[in-house]
Amino acid sequence: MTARTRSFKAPPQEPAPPAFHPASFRDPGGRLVEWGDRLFRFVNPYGVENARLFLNARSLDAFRDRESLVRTRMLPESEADAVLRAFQAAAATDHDSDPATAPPALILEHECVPFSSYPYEWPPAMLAAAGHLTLDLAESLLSEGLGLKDATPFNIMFNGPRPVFLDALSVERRDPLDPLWIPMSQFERTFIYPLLARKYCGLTLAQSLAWCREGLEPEHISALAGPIRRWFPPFLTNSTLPTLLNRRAERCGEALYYPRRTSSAEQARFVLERTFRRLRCSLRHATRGANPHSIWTGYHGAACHYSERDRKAKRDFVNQVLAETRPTRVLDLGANEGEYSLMATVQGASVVAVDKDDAVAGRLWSRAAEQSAPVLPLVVDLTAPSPALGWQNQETKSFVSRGFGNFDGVMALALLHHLEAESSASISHLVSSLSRFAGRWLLLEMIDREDPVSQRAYRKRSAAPRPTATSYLDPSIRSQIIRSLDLTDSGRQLVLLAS
Amino acid sequence: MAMTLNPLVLISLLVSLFLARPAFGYTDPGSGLLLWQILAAAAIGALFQFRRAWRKLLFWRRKDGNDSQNPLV
Repeated sequence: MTARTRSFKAPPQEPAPPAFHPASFRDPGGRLVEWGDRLFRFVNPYGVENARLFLNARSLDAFRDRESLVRTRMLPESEADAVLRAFQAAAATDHDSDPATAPPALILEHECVPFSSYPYEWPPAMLAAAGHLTLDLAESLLSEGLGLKDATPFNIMFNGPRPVFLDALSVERRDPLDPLWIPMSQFERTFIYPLLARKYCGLTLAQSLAWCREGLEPEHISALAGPIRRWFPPFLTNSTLPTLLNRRAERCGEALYYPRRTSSAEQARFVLERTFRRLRCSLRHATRGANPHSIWTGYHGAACHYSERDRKAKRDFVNQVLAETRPTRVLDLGANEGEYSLMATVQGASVVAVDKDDAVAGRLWSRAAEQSAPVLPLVVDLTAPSPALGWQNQETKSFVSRGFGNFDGVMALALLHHLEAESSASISHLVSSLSRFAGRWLLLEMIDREDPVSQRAYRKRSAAPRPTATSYLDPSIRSQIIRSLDLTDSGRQLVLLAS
Repeated sequence: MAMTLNPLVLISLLVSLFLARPAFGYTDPGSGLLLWQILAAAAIGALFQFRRAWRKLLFWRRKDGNDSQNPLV
């Protein structure tokens, strides 16, 4: 065992001038402004009422208490002036910025979610949790004559395992006699259809939501269901009948969009509550058994390629690294069901746990939610991580740009041989790429080419096993090794590198 | 005379009934969902009115029954 002492580098700090958030242009009520690690919302006169409703609605108190709403404060005049002056000064020198608009009527400051994630990176259970939060908010607001004007999972992000509603301008006053929830169609397309497609047709959320920000259409989901299944629940009422009604709706023309009014507010509320109840049933049905078995579930429990002694040595080594370095943010790559992610949370870290299998990510989310552990499980294939998407590829950032340099420590345990077999990149290239996520250290588990698990991974890809032991690393990377441990029974090696 | 239905007609009817027809371009793809919500809301609204009428009737009958048992009346 080698042991050397090194000083860890501090994470890089790059101050950025205030500028409009590139994803914030859809809402006519206001725009988000980023300034370093602070996030502001410039609210124009059109959005002031909605912003005040979001801040003051009593029906949202329970959501604020359990931190399901993004923490938001209205800036006092002096602070708002300072922010506005800095923004205008930056905009004057930035020729690419949007032309100056009228000064905002109000400036809000939101607390930033520690790590941005998007619905196409969540396991189904997390999308369902976001859906339930949307419905709970919409239903609670009814008691004050308010409503939600949007119902898209892009209005929600996760802080650890907890969904947080972000869109402060979504709350609006509603007509008490209106029995329709207009965002229902958006809710079906962006929550229920992708979940049905995952459950019944095997389409992952990345396949359905990454390229279709507005979700799937009823026609898509009916076609996916097939000629027989589409006539049975849950497809019959969720997609088949709406598909059949499309042409009829077309004949209605503009009349379809005329406001509908009931004879009493009580009747309208009764209808809306039944609508929310039906949508909740659809969500529950679409996620029953949302964390199914896959080839990777139960991997840690049945890790028969480790002897009991090696397993204990590995746990002790990882625990020691975490205890000594005390990281605040850890990225666990190839996290599986999160044995080591949860270990890092015990040492005080918040963890982003990445795996390409949505079944294990779903199980980890359930465990983290039960234990209130700050773990954010994401479904990302590291050989093809989420790209930047949306308008001008700027609405959602790529996984790599969100992750690089954003973590104190990165763990990639028993992962390199999979990446190597799937990407055919050299082990040195992989290690230097992964180290870009890490501000201070990178913890690797190297597996020898003779290892049966390693050989299986390469056989699956019809590739010849390549050496992954530390002796094959470039000298520049080898010089970064702080400490290593040989797991003698399994022939594996744990290596801690300075980043 | 017993009425018979031509099987061909029956099959054609079933096919035309059960085939999902594509919507034309330039239509709001969510319009079918909106119409579905309007129809569902109408049905639930009718249920609400029926429940209210039924409760009124029950309340009136109970009140009537209670009144008849009231010795002061």
